[in-house]
Amino acid sequence: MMEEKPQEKVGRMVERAIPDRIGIWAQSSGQMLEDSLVKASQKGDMLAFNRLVLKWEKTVFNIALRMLKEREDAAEATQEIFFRAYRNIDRFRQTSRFSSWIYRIALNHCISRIRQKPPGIHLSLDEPNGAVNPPKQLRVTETQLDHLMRSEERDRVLGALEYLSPEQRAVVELKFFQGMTFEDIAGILEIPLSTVKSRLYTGLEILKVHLAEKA
Amino acid sequence: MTPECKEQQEKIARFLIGDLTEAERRSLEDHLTACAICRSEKESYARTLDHLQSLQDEPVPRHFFIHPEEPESNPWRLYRRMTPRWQWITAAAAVLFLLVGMAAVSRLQFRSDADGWTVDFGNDDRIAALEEEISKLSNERNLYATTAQLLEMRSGFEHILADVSRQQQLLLTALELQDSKQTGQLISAEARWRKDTGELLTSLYQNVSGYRAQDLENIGSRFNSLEMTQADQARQTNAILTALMQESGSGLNKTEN
Repeated sequence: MMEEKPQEKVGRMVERAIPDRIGIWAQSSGQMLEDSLVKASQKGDMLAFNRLVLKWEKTVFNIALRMLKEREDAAEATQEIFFRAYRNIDRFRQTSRFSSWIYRIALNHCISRIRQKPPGIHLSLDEPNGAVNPPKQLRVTETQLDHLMRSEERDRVLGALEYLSPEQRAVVELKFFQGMTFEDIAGILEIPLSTVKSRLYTGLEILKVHLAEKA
Repeated sequence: MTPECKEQQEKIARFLIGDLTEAERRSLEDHLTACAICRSEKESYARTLDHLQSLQDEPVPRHFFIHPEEPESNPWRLYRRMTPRWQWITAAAAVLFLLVGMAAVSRLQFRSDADGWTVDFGNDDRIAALEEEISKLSNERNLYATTAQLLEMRSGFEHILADVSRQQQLLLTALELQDSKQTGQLISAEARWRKDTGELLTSLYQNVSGYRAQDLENIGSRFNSLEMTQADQARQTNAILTALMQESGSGLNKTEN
């Protein structure tokens, strides 16, 4: 192996360090911007709140989608979550992160929505690729095939998530899709750490049955 | 599956998430090297995590902005939006308004005059006059009520009295009738008694007179017979005495001689 020259080594370290520092700077400036948007929202600046919506809508919509499975339900729930957040923005204390606060609202809203839903099979009426209305003729291209496979995989995962209780789904969401620590999850859901772990491992076991073993 | 397998399999999910202690991790890794079943179990968990990680975020179907026309009618929010200085001013104004309102409500009066309804906050003289007027009206009303009650009672008593008089009259008539009946009966009874008694007495007198005459006659005859007996006895006595005296005289003469 060729020995690296000291200049190259330093250059590589600088190259590695600059993006990190830019990232830290961007992160801290992003956090400051978010804090100022929250403060402005608390003073009734709707434009500032809508900038928060713009930042968080994709995350919140995908949380709702993984919790509720149906896109229409998820879209409706997302709108309700932001209404609720807007109505209660005064209660948000900036000792915690805005993301934790919005996750809590989103998950609690989805859990109560699942509980209000009557039990049974829910079929989407506007699912063009669903089992109800399969396309009769489809000219398959590589992109479309990829899309179909992704869509199938997505349906499998969302279908498997439906076997979990709403509380287990919430823990799985925060751990695997938001990458949070157990302590943060316990704080957001306001439950003991042991309950977080218990829900996660029980949920994983159920998912294993429906994802890995049926594959 | 050995008991050790069972114990180690419970750690597989924790192992993949990084929730094991160093000792537990080493122990599991050693076991996985030796046990195919547990390796397979680990693969299942790993595939599950792969499936979860394969799920990509979907693009949003639309934006979820909050619009100005959305309902927002929370007074507390409006208050919170104010600067601290205005919050103090608003709070002070609210307290003042509350106190004035309470005072006003406590003195607020609704009155009906000849012209219609009057609303005012009143003053002491008018309140006193109104109270006096109310008291007077109340007394008059009480007096009227009492008079009406007494009149009613009087009317009742009069009715009762008339009834009693009428009944008394009827009773007196009945008593008089009864009295006259009984008097007539008594008179007739007395007359009858008198008549009967007179007849009885007459017959009794006659009887008694007859018995008396007979008794007298019997007594007379007995006296006569008794006189005759006494005369006989007297003559006998005289005869005896004479005889005795004659007897006694002849003895004396003999003695003297």
